[in-house]
Amino acid sequence: MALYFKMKTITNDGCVGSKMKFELLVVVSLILFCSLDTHAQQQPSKSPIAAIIMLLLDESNDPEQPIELMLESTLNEQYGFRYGGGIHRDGLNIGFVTQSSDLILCFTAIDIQPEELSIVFNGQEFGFVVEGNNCVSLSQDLQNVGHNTLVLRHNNPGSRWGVTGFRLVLDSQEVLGLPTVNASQWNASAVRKVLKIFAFGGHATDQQIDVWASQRPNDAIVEMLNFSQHNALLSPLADGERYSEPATMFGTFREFAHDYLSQSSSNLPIPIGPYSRGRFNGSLGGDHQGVFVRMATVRGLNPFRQRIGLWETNYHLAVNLGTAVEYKQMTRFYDQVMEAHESGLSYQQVMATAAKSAAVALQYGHRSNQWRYDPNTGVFRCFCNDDFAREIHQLYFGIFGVADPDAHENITIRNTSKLLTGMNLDYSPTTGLADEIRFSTQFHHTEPLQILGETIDGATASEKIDNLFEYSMQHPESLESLPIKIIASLADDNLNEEKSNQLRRAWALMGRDKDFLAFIRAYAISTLFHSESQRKYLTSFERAIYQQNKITLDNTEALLQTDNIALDLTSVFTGEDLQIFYPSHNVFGGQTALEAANSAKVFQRNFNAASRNIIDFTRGASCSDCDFGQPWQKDWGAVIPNKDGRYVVDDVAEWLWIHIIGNLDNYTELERAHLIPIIGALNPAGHEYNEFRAYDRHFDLAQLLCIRAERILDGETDNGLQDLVSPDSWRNYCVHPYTAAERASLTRSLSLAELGSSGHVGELLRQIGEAEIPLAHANDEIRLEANRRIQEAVAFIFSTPFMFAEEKQ
Amino acid sequence: MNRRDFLKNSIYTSLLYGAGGLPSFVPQASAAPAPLQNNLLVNVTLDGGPDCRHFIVPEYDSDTSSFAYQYWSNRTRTHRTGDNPAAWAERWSQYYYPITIDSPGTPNHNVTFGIWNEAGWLIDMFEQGNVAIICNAVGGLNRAHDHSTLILNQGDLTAGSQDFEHSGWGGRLARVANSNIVSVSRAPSGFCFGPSGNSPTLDHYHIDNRDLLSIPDTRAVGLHGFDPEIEQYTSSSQRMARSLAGYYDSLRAQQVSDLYDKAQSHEQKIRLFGDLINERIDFAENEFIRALYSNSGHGINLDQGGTPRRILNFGQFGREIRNLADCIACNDLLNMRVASMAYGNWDSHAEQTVIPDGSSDFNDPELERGIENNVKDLFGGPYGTLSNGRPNDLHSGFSALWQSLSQSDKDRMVITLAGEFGRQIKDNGDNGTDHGSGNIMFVIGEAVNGGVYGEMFPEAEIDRYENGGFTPEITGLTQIDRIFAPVCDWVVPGAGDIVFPNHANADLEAGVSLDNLFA
Repeated sequence: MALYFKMKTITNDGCVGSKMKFELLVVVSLILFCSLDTHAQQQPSKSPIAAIIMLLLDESNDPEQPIELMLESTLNEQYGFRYGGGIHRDGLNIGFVTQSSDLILCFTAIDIQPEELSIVFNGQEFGFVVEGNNCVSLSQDLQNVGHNTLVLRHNNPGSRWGVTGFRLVLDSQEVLGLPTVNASQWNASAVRKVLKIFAFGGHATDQQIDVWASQRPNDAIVEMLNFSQHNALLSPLADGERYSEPATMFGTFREFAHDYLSQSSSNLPIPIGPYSRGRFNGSLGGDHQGVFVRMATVRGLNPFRQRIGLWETNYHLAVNLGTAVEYKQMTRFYDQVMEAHESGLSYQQVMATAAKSAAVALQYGHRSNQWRYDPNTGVFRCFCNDDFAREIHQLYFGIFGVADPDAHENITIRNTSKLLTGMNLDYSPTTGLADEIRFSTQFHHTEPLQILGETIDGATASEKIDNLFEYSMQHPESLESLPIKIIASLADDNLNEEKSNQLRRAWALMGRDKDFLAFIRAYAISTLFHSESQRKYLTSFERAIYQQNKITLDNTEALLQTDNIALDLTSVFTGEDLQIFYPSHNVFGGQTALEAANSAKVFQRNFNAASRNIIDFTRGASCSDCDFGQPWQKDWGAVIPNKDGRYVVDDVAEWLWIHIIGNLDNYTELERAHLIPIIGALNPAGHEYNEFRAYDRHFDLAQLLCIRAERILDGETDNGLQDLVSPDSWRNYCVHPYTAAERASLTRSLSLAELGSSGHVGELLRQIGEAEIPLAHANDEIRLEANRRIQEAVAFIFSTPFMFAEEKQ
Repeated sequence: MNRRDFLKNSIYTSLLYGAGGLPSFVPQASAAPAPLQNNLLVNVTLDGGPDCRHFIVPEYDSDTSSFAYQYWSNRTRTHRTGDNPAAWAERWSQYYYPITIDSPGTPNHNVTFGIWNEAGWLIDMFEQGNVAIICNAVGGLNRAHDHSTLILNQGDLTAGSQDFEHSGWGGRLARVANSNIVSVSRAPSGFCFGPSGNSPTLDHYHIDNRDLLSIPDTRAVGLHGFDPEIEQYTSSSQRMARSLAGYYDSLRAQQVSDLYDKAQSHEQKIRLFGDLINERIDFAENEFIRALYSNSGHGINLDQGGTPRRILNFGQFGREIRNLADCIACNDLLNMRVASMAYGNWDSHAEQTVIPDGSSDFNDPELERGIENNVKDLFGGPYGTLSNGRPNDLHSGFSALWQSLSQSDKDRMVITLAGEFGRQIKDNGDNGTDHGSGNIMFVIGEAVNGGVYGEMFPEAEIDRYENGGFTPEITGLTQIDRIFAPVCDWVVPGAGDIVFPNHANADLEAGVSLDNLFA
């Protein structure tokens, strides 16, 4: 939960200011009183900075002497009562020097009840602190001359409270001319949004997400999004991970496929054999999609690198295994492009790397293009096709030649055909076609060529492509189109002209050498991305890989992805008529986000997977021998936070929703009413009946209400949760075969008003929400059942509309 | 949080791709398959830019200055002929069904052209006067796939390359007809997207898909639902299905961001129409249609071992035919007046044609033949005349559909086939053809006044073969508005003016009239 106070909205009526002078004195006096009591024993645990602050507080005895914050710095010491230093029983004073710009002051609050802690700035009272992240906007016009004081006034002295993580930062900054979100907008939800869109969700821990949220966005994004083969912050290994090799090895497609997944000597949960590990052999042919989805979901690699890799090789620079491209060239293509990104080449050089690849030459057929003498006509001519000669401009850069279509068609494209000559792909009887182009002057149009109005020279096609792309990147149509193409495809289906122009300006600001990563980072922390007008539907690939990263907890699951362990992404994509590396629109790319959103089949498969095939989710909590012959069991309790070892249903449900959806924007009473019964309305221990074990299945709300209604008709007066889920109850009430009334009750839809009411529905939900799920139970069977309920809850969330698109935050 | 408050603060630039409400339907219809209640448009998008000049060609002519000679001499690599007139003549005589046009007073009078002789259904339909071959037709002029596809789908030559949020002409026609458009392909194309507003005042530039039904598999449509005959407590799938159904039902009563309308719309439409379709389609598939895509469940096209195999190279199109046939059987329930299909893989830059050797099994769906596989998939059938004696008694796509329909259904159906652009008239160095602009488009149906519209083989093209200043392509003279507006009028009288408000001002080849495209 985050709260953002806008000082500008507060009315300054004068009376508040007068009142505050008195309160300020009280607050500071109480702070000093408390500090005298507790300071001595707390001192040894404090950092030098905190000690100095404490000393100032103690020694000054001056209510006007606050904690002093410096601009663009963070103060992580803990203040409050029975928290951290524990000396501020009644409040805390915070001071800072006036700045000539708008500021944001953020901090984290702990153990705060509603209206427990007031915020008062320079005498103006304007709201209350909430649990979690808080940010206060301190506009320039509200700042005093010289110095300012913000008071956190405790309204219930004596109860525990705490604050920490103070950050005072400028309200707005820019990167590449794109306005960066301010500290109040940069929170855990914003971090999760970045990870969802740009890193298939990643595997960062909640703690790491909080750390990023507490950092300046500019600093955090560098850690979040980079092209290293391994990103230990974005994709850390799970505690006790058995398959840890990807954290340090196998970062390229070839290594991952050929040296890791397909090797019988590798430490893997996957059985040895041609149909299990052998299919991943990327050089000899096999399951390229299976390799990719594992690279994108296994812990230890870099999901951002794979997310961009998917986009480059299946969308922007797409080639297709369904054409002449073979596995070997596709593997090389993927690695060449991503290694170019990793090495920090300019984006035109990254694209040039792709344009010079064997895969692209096979895809478009220009490996056969020749500039040679034609004995029939007595002149040299191009024995070529113009496929890539056209698309190298259109698909790579967005250049259509609109300024002079005839020149584009008859000069640029024709000459580009001539440029794309002398690109040989050698064949060996033993190893087949090569995976690298051999550039030659033979059959190459070695003379300079007029393309895009420029003279392009170079001895070979390789040199000419390099030279051409320097011009292509600066072409007006490219500057107009390419940044839009990138963001529209990756992150925003709702780009308007204003946003597009901002992106174009940012792109232009990079000068001649376009830095793709810098552009993505600047956008990912910009107000363009974190705005209400940003909206994105998820492609099937984006959705399903994201789901996989949300349901898997370790590499056993990520590597297996079959036999009811995790999602079988191959089946998912087959069911949605898709396959990675076989883009639906060939070189124009894979399924678009809009196509996914419009596809009834995509929705239907996803929905039925969570209902008709829900057993796949519950089975996915354990196996007897899937882990290379060994048993394996899932442990949601290891990642879901608990309170003193207790997993409270409401907390677990809320955590799951945030974990999967990323924020609580659409977590209302309705979602809660359907989610918490899955987790918490269970057949209890001590009431096992026949084959029904404790916690082995849940009751949905409609069924509970059906049982309740019949119990009341039967004169039962105790109808709390435990009464309803008792076998004595569900074996006798609302039982099969169902009457018409029971059928109606079982399919009844509840309104928000009913769910949020203080009546029996609300009371029942309250009881469910306060129940516990035994994720830490000592009994293996019970713990397993608890994990199965979590799996079902995940399935439910996967089936909501909010799984198919992303907006806001 | 409060969802309603959240919405008040939302700022959206447009109602992007809105899903709209529930389409109209007739829940009380009889259980039996229904004949077509109204005229129906079936639009087939030929993605990739089809080289129609490959399967509709001029008769070989030895006069070196003739159009035909120039055509054949510049097409040796795509037709896989030797580089000599005898080979061209042989190709013509062996592979094309000749038709001579009797149209006095037009440039086409006494012109002989050929239809690739394995396109038996097309030949037969043409001979019966049911095929309008619209020559020199044009949509996009820029030879870019994605932009030209937008133009074709939207029926708007002014559409920009990023105008994804504009309506399609099929969606507009369905709205005017107060009916639904059904997409039977894998995913609805832009052709299907409906406009905002109601007829006659449509907003072409915003999308409202309330009339759009996406039914990519009529035999597996539906959401897992509540079965009251099953014990609820013992069935986790039942509990989850019921919980989700209740959740979505409640969610509809709330104001949720319209970004999530599509998912909610799918849930509602699939649940409702899935039940209706499943109840109606309790009959076995027509064997000829099943044979289009399936390797089982039929006794057609057996391999040497007697095992059934599919007929079509691109089996997905067979499924679309099956879906269309099923939707026609449910047309009253679905209130369907427009259907959308797709057949891609026409971007034939390289190896446009592969001529198998004579010993090949020509009924092997995997036999590589280049775009001739596409033509056969669409138009193959047990009609026409084959000169080489190869068996051709298998129904391909439309032929199988046609034999399954009643005469009244055929009378009420029109099929349009068009690609986003044409291809160049001269083959390239890779045995293929590159992007062009003008092309042939087809309007097919029993109600169509068949024939050739527009000059079939314009002499002016000859200069383009060797003139470096021009792309060797078909010049587009008749814009798509002119072609599709009368189609709309046939489906719903008066619809052409609303769906294509500028059609009267669009280009039309001199001497051509499409006023009487339909009988």
